[in-house]
Amino acid sequence: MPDWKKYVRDHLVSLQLDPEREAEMIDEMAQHLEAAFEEALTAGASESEAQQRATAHIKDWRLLECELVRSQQSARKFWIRGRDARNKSLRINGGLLIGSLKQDARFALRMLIKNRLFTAVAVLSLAVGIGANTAVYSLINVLMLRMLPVRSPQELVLFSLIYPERTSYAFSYPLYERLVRGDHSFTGLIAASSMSRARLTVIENEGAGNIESVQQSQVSGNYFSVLGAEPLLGRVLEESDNKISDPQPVAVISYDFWKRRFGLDPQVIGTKITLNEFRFTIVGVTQPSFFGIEIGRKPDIWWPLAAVPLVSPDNQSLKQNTNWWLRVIGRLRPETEIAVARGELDVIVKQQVEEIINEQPSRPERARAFREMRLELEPGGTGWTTLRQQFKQPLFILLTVVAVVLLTACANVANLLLALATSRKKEIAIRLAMGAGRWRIIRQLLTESLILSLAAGGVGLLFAKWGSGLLLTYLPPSQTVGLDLSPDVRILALTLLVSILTGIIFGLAPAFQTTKFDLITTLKNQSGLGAGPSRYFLNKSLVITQVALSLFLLIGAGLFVRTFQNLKTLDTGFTSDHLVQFGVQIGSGYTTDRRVTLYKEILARLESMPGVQSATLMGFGLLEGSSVSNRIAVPGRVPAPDEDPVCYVLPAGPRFSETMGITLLSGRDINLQDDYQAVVQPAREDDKQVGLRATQTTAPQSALINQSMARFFFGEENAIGKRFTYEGGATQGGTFEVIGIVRDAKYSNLRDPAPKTFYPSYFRRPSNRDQLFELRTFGDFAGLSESIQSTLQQINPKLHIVGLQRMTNLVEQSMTQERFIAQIASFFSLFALLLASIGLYGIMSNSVARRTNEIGIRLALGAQRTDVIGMILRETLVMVVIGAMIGLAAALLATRMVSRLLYGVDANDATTIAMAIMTITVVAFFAAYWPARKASLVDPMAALRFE
Amino acid sequence: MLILALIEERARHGYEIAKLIEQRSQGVLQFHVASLYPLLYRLETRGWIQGRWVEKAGQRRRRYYKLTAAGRKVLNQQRQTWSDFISALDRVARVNQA
Repeated sequence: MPDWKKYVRDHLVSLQLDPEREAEMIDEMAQHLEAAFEEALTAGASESEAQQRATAHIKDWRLLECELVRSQQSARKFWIRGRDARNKSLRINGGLLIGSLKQDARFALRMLIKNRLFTAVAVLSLAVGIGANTAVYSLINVLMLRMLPVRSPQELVLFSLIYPERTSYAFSYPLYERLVRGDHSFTGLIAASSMSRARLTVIENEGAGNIESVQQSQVSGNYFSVLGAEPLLGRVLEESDNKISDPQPVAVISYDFWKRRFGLDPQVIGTKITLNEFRFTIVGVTQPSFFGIEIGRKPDIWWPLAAVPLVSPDNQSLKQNTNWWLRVIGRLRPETEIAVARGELDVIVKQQVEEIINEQPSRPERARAFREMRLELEPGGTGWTTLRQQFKQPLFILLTVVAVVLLTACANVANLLLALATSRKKEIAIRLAMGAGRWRIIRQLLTESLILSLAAGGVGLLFAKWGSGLLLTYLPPSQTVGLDLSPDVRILALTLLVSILTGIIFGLAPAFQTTKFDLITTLKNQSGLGAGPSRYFLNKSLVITQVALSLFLLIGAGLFVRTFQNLKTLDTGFTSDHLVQFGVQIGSGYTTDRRVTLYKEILARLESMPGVQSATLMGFGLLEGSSVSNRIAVPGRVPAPDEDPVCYVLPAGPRFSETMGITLLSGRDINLQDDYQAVVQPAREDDKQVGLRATQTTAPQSALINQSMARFFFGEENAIGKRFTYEGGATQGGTFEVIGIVRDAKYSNLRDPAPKTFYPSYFRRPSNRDQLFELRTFGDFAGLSESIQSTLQQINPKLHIVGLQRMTNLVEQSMTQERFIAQIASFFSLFALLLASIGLYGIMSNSVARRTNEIGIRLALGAQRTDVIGMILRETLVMVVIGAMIGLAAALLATRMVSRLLYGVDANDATTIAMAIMTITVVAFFAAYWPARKASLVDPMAALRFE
Repeated sequence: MLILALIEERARHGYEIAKLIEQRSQGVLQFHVASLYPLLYRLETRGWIQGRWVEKAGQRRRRYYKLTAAGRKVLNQQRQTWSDFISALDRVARVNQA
């Protein structure tokens, strides 16, 4: 007897039903056949006859399959619910969904691989867009959002002072002390100086080791405990180390420094070192991740604020209440409102302000500024960096730029998808005809876009890693030490989100558009090119969007490029070629006389170096943002009632005009004879900071003044030999005599016009600050730093050169922001332009292909080839004009917001706008020309046969 | 309705049902496997009949279908509908006259 079960199973393909149920069915039907077989045998048929009769019972196996499956379709859910509650049914449904998603994904991958060129272009353009967004966001994340690696950073509060014109994060030590005494809202307030350089030697066996320049920061005693930074080795600083009455010369070093200098030697605790010739003992090493509170800077060594007078006995910064040099951060008590704390401490700031004003009655304009000053508290968990203030707006602009680029890329890919959809129209029509739901097909198409965008996101992450590194090179290297740009969870999440959003944005419209058409027409149309007007409309609006976005970017980039160029070609008033600037660490222990002698010797030795033309020294560097200004009075001159007699000061050494290349218009340069005169009485604190010294001698100090100042105070008169007083020092006899007039030169920054400035002859009072020197050479030469160092060593082995920089670099650096925006915005606007031209080319080629027939007829009816070209170009022009109008409107609105960052160019600069429009028109012309030419070469006969 | 009626008296298995339909209709109505079993399963799914594997001494295991309460209700409804239909036809076309 045949095995009926096997017979049935062999004839039925798998029904993909519940296996148990399927087995039952087979069993039952097998029995049926068996019964029929046996009956036939009983009726006297032969075995083969009986078999034939039995098998006749099932003729159409395929029909049976269908019927069986259909009978079970609604059963699946019932069956499972009956057996095993809800969760299993969910799992099965989920399984089905995931199964079909997998199917979608597989299919999508096949489609994408099939259209390799499309996939490559789409993924690459999206990847650039996504990568750029991620890169910019990475930088924002690092500079502004990432929390400090300390205990509960969200409790930290950063202190700042709001002046009428600016926000300052600097506090004086007396104010800090006062805040600490009056505070009830914080578990602790810490203060830290910004990072500075110091000479460090390790005393091994009581001998001096190698001198090394290290980064130091002076901090309050509770600095580490309030931040919650545990030592890796030894101990951290304590309150008892920081008693003003009894400061302890102890220091904590960073892990990196421990590794670099001591090779991770655990015996480092207790090691004696000197910092600027003063002895300290190392008591601890910090954790590797700890860097303090300033983002992008990594001090090597921390020591108590109270020890400042030990290291430099003449440093008064702990007592001066107008010396703003400390960062203050507090840890807020739980349940304390930040506003309450602010109210409480602002009162203290106000008291301090009144005291300062009372101490300095002579400066009414400063008193006004001080009175309007107030305390501000902000969340400090992300630490502090000057980059944040400086780059907030540029980064915001950049974020806008890259977002627009991403949108352009989206529009481009959407356009490509639409073009692709034309060729897939047949396929989709067939699928719809076979009963696929519209939603099902949209899901399929969206899966494709998502796969595209996720792939782009992956590639984009690589771009971002490279791009954020590149962005970082635009920031000052000294302020970006140890910035970790590797993507964290936040970045990865953002990239994923952006990718998915991108996929939906560019995928949605084409998906809906593609599935919306008349089935019958499409299936009948053999050429498969019949497109409804609305698809054409969508296509066009995408190109118009691209044109608008690119123009927007082009105008923005144009403005910033012009700003950058204006600054670059700007006349600074001095000659920065072959000019270098460097500091010399002098060390302590010099009297004023000895210091002046030393300076003179250094200048003489420098000038005798081969290749050196001249040398001078200055109170502070140009274009560094430093400025000192005050009222000037000219004896015998009646000031006009509303005039502004404030002039800026830069103390300068011998051969200043010659070395700096600031043209001397009349009179003479400062020379060695305009030198130091016996100081009878110390200058006021403020003057000391800039190196001005006031004397009681009636002999005036020599000074160079610039053109603006000469014109302002002396008009057409010859100013040489005239005298003026510096108001702040008037009571102390700060009288100056004009020895020469020089051309106007930029002062604290490039953007502001050269102010009224005077350069008094200067030999600085002794201090431990590095003295700034300027050197003009005959050409660039390598090893300048080493030669200067050896020259200095010949004078005194303790002298050290620090921070040698070419003036050209310094000028460049002061344009960092502008260069940053200009270069990056241009890059991206050109990229957007490229995408737009690809889009234009794509749509015009498509349009030409679609209209081959029409064009053929036109040509056959006598249209000239040039007419056809004109027709296509006109069509392009319409799109460009519409796009340009939209882009222009958007640009006009947006550029107004950035006008503060522009220089020498109006936010609505007509030339820039005209150039941008011209660029886009020319590019559009070329993008459309090839399709137009192709159209004009259509063979009328071939075109007519085409249908 | 036919199937429901056949298993109203007692539970029957598939082959028996097919045979009975053929016999009682005197060969006019024939159910093939391809239509019979899917139909049975569908009725089962709707909850009108219930299938159960039964083993009897000396016989192989067979699946017997019996009418459920819901099935009985449906059967009665259908009978009513049919008799209404037939009598309506009768009144109109005198189908039953002969």
